Amino acid sequence: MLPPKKVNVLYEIKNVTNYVISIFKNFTNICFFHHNFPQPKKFKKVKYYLIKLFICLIIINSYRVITMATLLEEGICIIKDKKVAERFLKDLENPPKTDWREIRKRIKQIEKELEEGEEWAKKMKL
Amino acid sequence: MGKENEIIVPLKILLEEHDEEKVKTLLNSFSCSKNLEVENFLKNSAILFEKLNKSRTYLIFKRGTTDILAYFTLTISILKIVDDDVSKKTLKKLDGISKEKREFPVYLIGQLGKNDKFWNEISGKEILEKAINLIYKANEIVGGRVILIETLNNEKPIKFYEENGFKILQKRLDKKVDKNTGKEIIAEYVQMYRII
Repeated sequence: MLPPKKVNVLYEIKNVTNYVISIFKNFTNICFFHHNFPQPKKFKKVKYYLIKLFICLIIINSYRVITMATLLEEGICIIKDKKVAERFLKDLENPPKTDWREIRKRIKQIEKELEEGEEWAKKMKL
Repeated sequence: MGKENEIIVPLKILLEEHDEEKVKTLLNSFSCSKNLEVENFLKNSAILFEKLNKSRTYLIFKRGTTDILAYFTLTISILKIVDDDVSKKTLKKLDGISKEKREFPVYLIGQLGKNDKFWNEISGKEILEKAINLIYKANEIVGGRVILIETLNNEKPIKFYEENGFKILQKRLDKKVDKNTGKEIIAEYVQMYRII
């Protein structure tokens, strides 16, 4: 989970990356695929580095997309606000009364359902 | 539709019993136009997360068929308090030992959604009940005190979770780019919790 400011910064990085990628695409198109464009020997090395850089940019780009994720993907929930934290801790201090007998029944029920499900998974024709 | 007409299958078992490509094709039949993230997760990430043991996905089928009515994903997560002003006395009371402990392990219902095609054949309450029952099962073995969910900031899902014992924790904004369309998505999420 990222704070909005960090989200904005990362989003700008993404935009800049996209822009740079588009420039490189055009540049490589002109340099390597246009017959009239002069191609000295040293250009081969440049071409190699440009391709490497281009791949790096794509990786950075895809990483950013992964970074902006749901709680499930991020794996951590951060509480920054004191009021939110105090409210949560207060609730945790005074948990609701739990009927464990009822819960055990529910556990048995779901175990039975899972057993049935596993049997069905084996028979299922996909 | 009653419990006798549906069947719950762990994705892990499906992957053990069947060819991965066939499972993928099956998952691709799921659609959830109300929340594309729910749909995309099942299609693109659920199998990977299952293999990495990052989460567990459970599919609810119509009994005797391969029709996915709904699914949900469970995992363990961490809730961290970063504000230093939070009462140390309270923290110690909660942890029992340390007054510096600001991280709480939580059960996370990472995804929960119904298939568009069978929208009226299962209720959200039934899906949530199954998810919570499985969390109770985990709780009996390893303990734990909090269930966390994250939903879009819409009145309907918030009300639904509140009716089922969840309370609002906080909101957060998220910007992302849709990999398929390249369009920018700005979403506001609400994180909610329930004490076990």
